[in-house]
Amino acid sequence: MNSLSDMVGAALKAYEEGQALDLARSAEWLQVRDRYAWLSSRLIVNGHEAVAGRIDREYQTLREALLRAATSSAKPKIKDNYPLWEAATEFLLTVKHLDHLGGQIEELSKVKPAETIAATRAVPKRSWIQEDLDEAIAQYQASRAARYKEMLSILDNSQTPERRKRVVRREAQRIFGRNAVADALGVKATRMVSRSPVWVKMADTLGLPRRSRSGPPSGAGQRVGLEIAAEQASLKATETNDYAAADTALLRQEREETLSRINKLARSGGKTGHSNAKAMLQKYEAGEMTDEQVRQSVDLLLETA
Amino acid sequence: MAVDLSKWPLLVFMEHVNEWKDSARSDAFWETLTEHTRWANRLRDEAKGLIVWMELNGLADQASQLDKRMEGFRKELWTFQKACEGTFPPEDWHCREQRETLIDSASLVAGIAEDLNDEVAEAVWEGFGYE
Repeated sequence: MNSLSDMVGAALKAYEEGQALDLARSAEWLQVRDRYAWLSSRLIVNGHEAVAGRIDREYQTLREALLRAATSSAKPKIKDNYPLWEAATEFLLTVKHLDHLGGQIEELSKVKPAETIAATRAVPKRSWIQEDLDEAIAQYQASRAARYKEMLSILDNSQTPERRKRVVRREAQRIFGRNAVADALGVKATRMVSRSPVWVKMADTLGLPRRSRSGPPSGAGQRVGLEIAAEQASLKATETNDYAAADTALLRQEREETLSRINKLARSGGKTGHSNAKAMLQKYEAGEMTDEQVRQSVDLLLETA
Repeated sequence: MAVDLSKWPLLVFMEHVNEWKDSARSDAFWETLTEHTRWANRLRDEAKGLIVWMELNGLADQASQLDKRMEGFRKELWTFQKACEGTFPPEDWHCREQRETLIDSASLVAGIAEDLNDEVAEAVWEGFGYE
């Protein structure tokens, strides 16, 4: 795998004679963004706040310079745009030295990864009163309001390709699906979630599958049903690069959000914040924890901190 | 007897900056502008290695001091390049003047490297992969 500095260097070389907008839209730049998020988290969980702050600052400066250059009426070549070239070079040099240091980032860290992450244990199942459960589900939704709204805006947008909607709906199922909610809240009788009007409304709005025993489908459900039909049709269609790109972008957003939660845990203070975050990052990177598992664990650890 | 400076990377860096300064003061400088710019960029790279290492070792304040001086040096280097663009440098007063400003900013970099060397314990540099 190429190092981050190789990626930044290659992107700059490829676009130095070109325009900022082309660089900002390029696959090379998206790769840089992805790898930068990993490196930033790695520094944060290891307690290297000063260096993490440096690459975050330098990356933001570079992003802003790219944005300014892309929206400016003057269109100098990237290498002739001093603020942009300067920001890119500073970022490149920092990541180059960090790449060169490699394992020493861990060796110089005083943080030891937690041997077990307490919050990854399943929440104990218990009996609920329906009213309490409704309230707990509402809170569960409220604490994920930003993600919920984002998913909804993607699903409600008629311009969103069906392939992308399918990916979002799959993600919604992982977070807001009946079993996910029951597991997160420790509900013994899963059917109580299905009966909860709060969950039913949420599931209908997001177009999540649910068992309906009686009554006509609601307007929202019908709308979603039509979308699902369109989605089924799109499954048969040839997948285009645009769809693949949309999926990649969505997965990248998911990763960035998950990494930002890990960063938040590391920065939450306390004795175990860094060590739990470090262990979690290692498991996430190794594919031993999913996005949702990481997020649930972080939420729980932060609540009990 | 020659002194081995390799245990003190800040002093090595200071020496490299001083070499560049001495060379930049010579008459040959005007014929080797491109080489001197590349050389200055290597100094920039070297400084960044020191800055990152100091930050990783909990010396963010010291790193910041070197960083600020390097920022000044970088700006003067750019201004110098712009001032000397499209001119016959030795005959252009603005370009010559900018060379002096650039050399002054390099002196500030060398000065802070020397000061920081007194502040930073030798043990900090153990494991530093000096290039």
